[in-house]
Amino acid sequence: MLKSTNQFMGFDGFVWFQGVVESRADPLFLGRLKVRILGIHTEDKGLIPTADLPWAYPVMPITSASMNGIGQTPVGAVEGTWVVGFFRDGENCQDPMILGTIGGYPQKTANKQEGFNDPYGTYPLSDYLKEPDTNRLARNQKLSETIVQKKKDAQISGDIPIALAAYRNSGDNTSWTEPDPAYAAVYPFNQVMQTQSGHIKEYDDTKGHTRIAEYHQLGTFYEVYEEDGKANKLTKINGNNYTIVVDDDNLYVQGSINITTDARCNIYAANDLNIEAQSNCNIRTWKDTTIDTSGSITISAIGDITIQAGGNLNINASNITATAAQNMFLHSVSGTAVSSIAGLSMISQTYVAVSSNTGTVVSSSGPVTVTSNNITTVSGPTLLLTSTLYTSVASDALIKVGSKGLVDITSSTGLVNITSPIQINMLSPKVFRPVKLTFDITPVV
Amino acid sequence: MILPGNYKINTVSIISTEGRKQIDLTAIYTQLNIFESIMTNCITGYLTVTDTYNLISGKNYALPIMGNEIIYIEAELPAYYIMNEKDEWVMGAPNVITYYGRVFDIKNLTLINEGAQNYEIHFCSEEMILSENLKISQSYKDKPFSDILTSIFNDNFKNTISSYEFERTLNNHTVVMPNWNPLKAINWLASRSVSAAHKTTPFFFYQSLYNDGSIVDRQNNFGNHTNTSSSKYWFLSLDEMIAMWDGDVRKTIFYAPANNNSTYKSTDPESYMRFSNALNYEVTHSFDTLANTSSGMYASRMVTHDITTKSYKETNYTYEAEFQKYKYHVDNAGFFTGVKNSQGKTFSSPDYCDTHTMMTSSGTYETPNYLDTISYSRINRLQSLNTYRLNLLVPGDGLTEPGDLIEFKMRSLEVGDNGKTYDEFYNGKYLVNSIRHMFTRKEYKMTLDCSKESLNKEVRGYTASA
Repeated sequence: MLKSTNQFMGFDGFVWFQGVVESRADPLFLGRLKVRILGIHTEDKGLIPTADLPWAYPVMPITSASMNGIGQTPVGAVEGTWVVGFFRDGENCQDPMILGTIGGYPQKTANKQEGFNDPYGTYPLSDYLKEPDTNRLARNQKLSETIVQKKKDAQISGDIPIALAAYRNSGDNTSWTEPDPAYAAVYPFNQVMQTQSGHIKEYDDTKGHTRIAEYHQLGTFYEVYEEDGKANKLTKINGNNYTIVVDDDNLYVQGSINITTDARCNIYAANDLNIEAQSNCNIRTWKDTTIDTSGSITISAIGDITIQAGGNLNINASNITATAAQNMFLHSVSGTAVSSIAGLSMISQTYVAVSSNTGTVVSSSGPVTVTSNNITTVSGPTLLLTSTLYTSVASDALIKVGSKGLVDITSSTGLVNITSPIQINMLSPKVFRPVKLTFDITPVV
Repeated sequence: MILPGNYKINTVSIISTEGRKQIDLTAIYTQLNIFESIMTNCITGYLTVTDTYNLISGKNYALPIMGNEIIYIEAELPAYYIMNEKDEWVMGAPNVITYYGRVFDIKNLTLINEGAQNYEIHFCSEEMILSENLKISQSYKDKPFSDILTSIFNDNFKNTISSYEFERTLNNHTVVMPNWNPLKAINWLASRSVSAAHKTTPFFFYQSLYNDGSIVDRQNNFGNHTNTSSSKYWFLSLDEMIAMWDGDVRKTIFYAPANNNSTYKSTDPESYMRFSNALNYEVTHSFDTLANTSSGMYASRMVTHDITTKSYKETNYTYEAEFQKYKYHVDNAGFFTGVKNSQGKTFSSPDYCDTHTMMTSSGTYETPNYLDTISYSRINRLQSLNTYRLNLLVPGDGLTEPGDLIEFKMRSLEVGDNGKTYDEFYNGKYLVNSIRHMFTRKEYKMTLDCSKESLNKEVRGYTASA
């Protein structure tokens, strides 16, 4: 008893062990496990209940900080997992540490009454007996019970259309399909990490079929796979997808982008929305199209702008200004009406021509003013100046009223005044005077 | 009355494993040796016989000795002395020891002549062999080590015929015995135990041949025999061993050369002189400052760490400070820790604490092991016990046990006024570590391996210039 054990930890012999995990419910959340150690602890739970087993600390790899949550989380083993470790306190065998886990070839399910077994009787799973603990995806076996089959079962059947397919030339792509699962792993090149519920990560180095894949147990996954010397990527989301970018998002695609949705497609920009196409920009709507803006809309084109409506073309605005660098045409197969509640002005720097094969009507509930800085010509087989109130013909210089026929100045109700501060000249071979003139008329001799 | 150095063998016999055959060896044994020690768990011994019946082969008496046979010893030993009405020391009634051991080996077999051979039959207590057959893989939750030890003892040695007395320990512990045999488990518990009464270490688990007279009425499965034993198992702290004497000692031993009879009074009876007289003595181990230094007895540092809280603690120890902590010592004063060296420091300078650095875990978060307060103390005191060792050859008696305190009057070379002087420092009390009982056909002697954990007198005025 005088002999004292070496009192310097690490110099007292390395005592290592193998054991079986029986609990991982660490109250301190340190990843500690209750491990029943072969040859050290009895399988008799009456003598050593699972709860009395010492907590074994996990040893993390150097790549894990094990500090403030930095690095890998020290969980992963399940009840029934075989582990290898050592005792920090050497032969005292009270402070176990776990270095790693050991896979095997389980032959029978757990006997939860005995130690060295999963106390819950879950692991090893009955479906996995008599096969290696190595993941089926790593060894390319029983694929029908793996995510490879699940991916096939969930594959989108048929073509997925792309926009404006009906307008494309023959030979252009008009649809695409979901790629088949690219899995073609060969042992031992596929490194698989699977969690208890079935989440899977794969790093597959199989020659010619290299892949990187991540799979959620409910079917959402992405897979980067080798094909024709390139690394394609398939992302499939069995649910909603949310992508949030706090700052800028940049997407550069050297090929085409096809976006197909079976439901609505909404694009919202809190600021400007810019769409630029170096080639054509095609928007095809199988129902109505509405462009609504709280500000202005500017449509400009180096070439022509064509607005074609199968029905009516309605343009509503506070003011409408149509400016043509050259000519402007308003053409209607039937009638063209230009109306204004207020004034209607037609102003031309050269001339205004209003012509009609049948008739031209200029009507106004108020005055109609025809103004010209030069000669104003109103001509026609019949030229009617009609006014319900009065008609004024005024000129700062000269008013000539001439007719190859009759010039008839008639007032059906009142006077006809011809007034001049200087002189009124009337020249005619014959003057018909049915009424007495109130002023002297000097006949022109 | 049996005087010290004498004894009476009632029975030395060997019993077959099944208990059906018993052969009396009283007439053929030439020497019987029995060992008991606080440093070993069980009594061991060997019997030297001159065999003319070829017991080993068993042809004549159908008792081949193949191991696991029972050695049964019953002897009357000089027990105690009393002072009579004439103020004389006289021996009282003898102690009867009864001991059952298991044969585990035959050694040193030599042929004397055509019809006789000598050999040694080695035996040990039942528990020692049984312990090798048993393993403990069991958890013990939130209990003092003394309770755990008691459970282990009772569960595994339920048929023992020895009595036991276990001192209560401090602190509750949760441990899992990792498939150790019972005695290893018990020793492990002892190495970590702290006395509840004295708050100190170290602890010793051992068996003594004689149990202060209380014969245990127990039965074991030694064949059909109903047996009792005078032996007893102890689990005691060093302080309890010392404290139970309350300043007294088992006996005072003198070493009186033949030409110096001044040790005893002329009126002292022979029984007293025999009882108190050392036939010889030898200092087997004196202060070994090199060993004491390297073992950390003078100064050391304990580094404990907690893997859960990621913390560690350094505690420095020096001999003098530690010595003062203990209420009980074998003798009066601490060991001298040396004159100052060329660096101006003694062995126990705090600057030398890292001479011996211990580093260990303080256990786990849920189950602290308290080693930060135990380890140094244990090492310090065990090494102290090993610092000064004395072998005393004395006439045998049936009273002295391992763990006893005795007083040895170690003579000095100087002659005083009254003709005798004693060593200033090494005279005084000693702890009996081990006893070897040697029975020959003529006499009974004991070799006492004693140690002195402290000096009789403090070393003063010892300076570098002195």
